[in-house]
Amino acid sequence: MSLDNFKTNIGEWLQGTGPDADLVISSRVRLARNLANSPFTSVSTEDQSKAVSERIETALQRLDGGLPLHVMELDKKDVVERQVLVERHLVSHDLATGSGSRLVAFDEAESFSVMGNEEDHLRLQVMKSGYQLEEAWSQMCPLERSLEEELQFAFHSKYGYLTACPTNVGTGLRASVMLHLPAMVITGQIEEMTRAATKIHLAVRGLFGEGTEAQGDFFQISNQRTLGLSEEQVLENIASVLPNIIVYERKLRDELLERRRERIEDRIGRAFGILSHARVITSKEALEHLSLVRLGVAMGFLDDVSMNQINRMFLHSQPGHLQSLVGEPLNTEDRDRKRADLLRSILGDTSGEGFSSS
Amino acid sequence: MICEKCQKNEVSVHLTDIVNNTKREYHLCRDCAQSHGVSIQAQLQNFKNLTVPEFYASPQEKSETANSPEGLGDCPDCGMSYSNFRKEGKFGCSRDYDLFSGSLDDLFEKIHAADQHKGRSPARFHEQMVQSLEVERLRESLTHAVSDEDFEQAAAIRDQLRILESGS
Repeated sequence: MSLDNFKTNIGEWLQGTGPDADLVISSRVRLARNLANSPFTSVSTEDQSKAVSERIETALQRLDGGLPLHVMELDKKDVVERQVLVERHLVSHDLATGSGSRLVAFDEAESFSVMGNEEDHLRLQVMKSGYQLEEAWSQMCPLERSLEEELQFAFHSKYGYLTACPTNVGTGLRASVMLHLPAMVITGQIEEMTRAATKIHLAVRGLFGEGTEAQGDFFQISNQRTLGLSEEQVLENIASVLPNIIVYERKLRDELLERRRERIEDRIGRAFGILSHARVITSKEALEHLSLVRLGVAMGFLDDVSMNQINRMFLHSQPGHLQSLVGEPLNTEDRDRKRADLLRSILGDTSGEGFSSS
Repeated sequence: MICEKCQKNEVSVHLTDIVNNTKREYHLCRDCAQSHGVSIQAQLQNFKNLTVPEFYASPQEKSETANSPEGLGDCPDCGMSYSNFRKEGKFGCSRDYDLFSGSLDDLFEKIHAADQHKGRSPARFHEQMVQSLEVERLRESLTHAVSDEDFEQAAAIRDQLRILESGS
């Protein structure tokens, strides 16, 4: 498959169709695994890395009950193509910018993906729209088992699945949900939520996970501990706080409506105005306004915009997608101009030339 | 009062330590206290990384556990040394886990508040995992039995543990 499909599609996890999708963008589980008897990626020779890639590819071809997978060798993709894969959450920043033999495989819906020769030999990921952590885990289990039969994973009876980094050892499981919490940000309650989550060993991070700042009111909550808990306990931990966060955010939204309706409506209307009429816009500014417009749609203020449109704007206005859509590398200024064109075209303004508004 | 460590000098430092709700008092002379890093300044600087049982361990014991992985040299499979592992924060291969195991329990306690895997396992490890979790369970009940001063029960558990561990 070429990357052309990415110009019109968005992954299933970004469709905005899952449970509580007005607040929970997506749910994700990932497993870190290494092949027994092969050194970890960081100390592997080029030949060893190639051998690992080949073994993974063969195993993926024999995957039981798995969907057909697209396999891409990252070392054969250019900078923009790799950036597009990062923006779609199919590939980590480290894998995109690394060196040597690296691969990614994913299904058509972009729900299941496998990174080869990341920090660990394998990073398996299942992503779903809305709050579906349990479902994501159920989808992961048979896929992991099937790969285990083909590839012997490095395992230790005391320490569990062995990983390059001590923070992943044991289950190798990172379960996370991406949340949109604008009312908590507006009312200054985010720190409180972060404190409560940290207390039960959950981490709160930005849009692209580890080491990234929260942007546009989007937050990722994930487990920190991977050793000493079963996979089910990890999921239960997150499930024990998530409904409270959802209920609280909804309650704050209702209160905002009740007490500050005019001001909130005004902010959302202005954000919509900028997105649909701006001629030059940075990705940071676009994200901030998209967050407010998303809130407006969830609260029922903006009838003529769909969640799907918002998610498309959200994904396609990022630098990699933008350059891929235009078909050539762009400097920052040109990107800001093309981004404004794209947003206008998605919101139905015909002056956004060069982009189809379908 | 005589220092409980050297059994010679007069006590000048009284220390109270509470671990898992169990209070323990230490009475040390100035020399013993200082040689283990317990001056007021040292306490302020070091206390975050040093637990009382750690400093109270005899110097030989302490240096042994802290240095043993370094003394082992580089991993024959991947070439990783213990000091390099601590510097980089990443293992080089599976074998490092066995090679550095003397220091990993403490590290994992800090990161995960645990040192025993309790999740799923590959089919070829199922039997071993069942036993490994049983040993873990028995160790915990042994600790309880000892703290409850139920020494009869403790001895029985210890015997069970010996059988299990000799069989593995």
